[in-house]
Amino acid sequence: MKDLEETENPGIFIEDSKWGIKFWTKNLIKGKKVYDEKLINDEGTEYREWSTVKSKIGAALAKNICPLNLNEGDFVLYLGAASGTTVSHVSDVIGKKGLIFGIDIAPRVLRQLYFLAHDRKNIVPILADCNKPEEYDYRICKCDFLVQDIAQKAQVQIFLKNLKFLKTGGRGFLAIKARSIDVTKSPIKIFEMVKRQLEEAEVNIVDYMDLEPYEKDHCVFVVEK
Amino acid sequence: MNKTVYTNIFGTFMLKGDKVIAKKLFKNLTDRKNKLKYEKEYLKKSVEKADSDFVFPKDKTFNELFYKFNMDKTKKDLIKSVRTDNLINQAINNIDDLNRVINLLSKRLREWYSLYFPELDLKIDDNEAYAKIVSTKKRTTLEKEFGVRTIGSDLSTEDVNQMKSLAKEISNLIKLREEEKNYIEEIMSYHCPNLMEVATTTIAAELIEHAHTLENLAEMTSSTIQLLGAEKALFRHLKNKRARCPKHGIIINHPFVGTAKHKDKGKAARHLASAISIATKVDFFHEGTLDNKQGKLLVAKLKKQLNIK
Repeated sequence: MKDLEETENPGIFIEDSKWGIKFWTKNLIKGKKVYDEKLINDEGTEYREWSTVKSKIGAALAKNICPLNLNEGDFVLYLGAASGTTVSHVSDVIGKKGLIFGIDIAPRVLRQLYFLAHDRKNIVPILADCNKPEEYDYRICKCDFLVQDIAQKAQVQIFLKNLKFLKTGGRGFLAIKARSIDVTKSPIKIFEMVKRQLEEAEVNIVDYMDLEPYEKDHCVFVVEK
Repeated sequence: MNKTVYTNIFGTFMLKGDKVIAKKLFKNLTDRKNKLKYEKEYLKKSVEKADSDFVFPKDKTFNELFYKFNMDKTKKDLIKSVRTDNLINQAINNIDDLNRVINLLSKRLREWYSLYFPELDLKIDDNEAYAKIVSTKKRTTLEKEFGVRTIGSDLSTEDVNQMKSLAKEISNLIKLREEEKNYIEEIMSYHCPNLMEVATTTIAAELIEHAHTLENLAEMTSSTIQLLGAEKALFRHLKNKRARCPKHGIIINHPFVGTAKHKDKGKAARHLASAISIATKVDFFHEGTLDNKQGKLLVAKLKKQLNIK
């Protein structure tokens, strides 16, 4: 049997084998896959593998990021939910008592999230533009954890706008794609610029790192309000 | 502790601190438009509206309501989200795919039929005509028509029938492609007639496909439109100044740009892009009924600018 150990993040399990590090979450809906991930059974509990290549939180976990402060029963606001690869794992972690608001602007991918939400009753899909929080603020409530994974030029501004939905003491996870902000500048310069922007907005940065080799020219920030 | 009033997607609540002391749940999504009435009721008794720092209490029934109401709203939004642009995008992509499939199958048919009657491959260049001849005519009649004695081997009727059914399928696909083109022309003639007039049907559809929606295209500058489809060359130029800047993207296929002399190509592309930009803006921001009057004027102006008769 595999040796799964709970990490400092409750609900996320680590397996340190000779093949490398793998992360697992308990499957909320037994026997169902969301994308083409692996399922294993450990003494009656089913686990789903958290891909480090497809998911930016997964990659950040593999790079040993600071604790995310994500617990069972939390409310999560997920900006740029897409088809629900990462959303499904966060939904595993927060369990049936929690709630995750997945927001995306593209109808094509939200359609898939809508079907996923049929099975997982803790996912709330919302078709809206994250750049205009006033259009969806009545549909959500204040959250314990905020994730943003949007590849747009105004990534940082969108994050700062949505920070008002985060409870005091809650943590936010911001994934930055340097190539979306400016292709001509070097990624390192862009990350420094983003850090400065966050500091100017008086956001408390807990941890930050690039995602090499899992993602190219990506950087993540964990902030606390 | 102050009492506050708060309204979200599924109800109006009176709260004390973070505890709900009175609530009015909406029956359905449209009930929310009465929220002012409900809020007023509470505001009479109690004090103020909730501020932005307010934290909604966690409760199992509230979670379910959040889920139910938002799913309903998202369902409505998704149903509304399909637009004419999506249809154009799918149709133009379909034509692209059909082109690829027709070429692939035609190549196979030529190889295959050449075992039986190789002379036809040399005589007929057009794929459509080739497929039609293979599916309808017999080898003996063809021999008489072209006046040759074939060097192909004699095959049984069963073998030849396989080739004929493939040729029939190719003819059908070609027919489908024509239908699709007519369909695109039809929907675009009421969706964006001016753009179609200036840019020709295929290029107009490709431009919309590239920008995803007509709205996005209308918001683009003419220099962006000029280089749509040449992103790879553009970014190569931006990263390394030694690489030269591209002059045209998708619009290279337009007759005005394609037929221009080499040194005039940039000029033609620039003028055409600016005309397309104006036409798109007319199409998207128009009021009342839409016709292609503006597009015709733009084409006339373009011809004058580029000295085309």
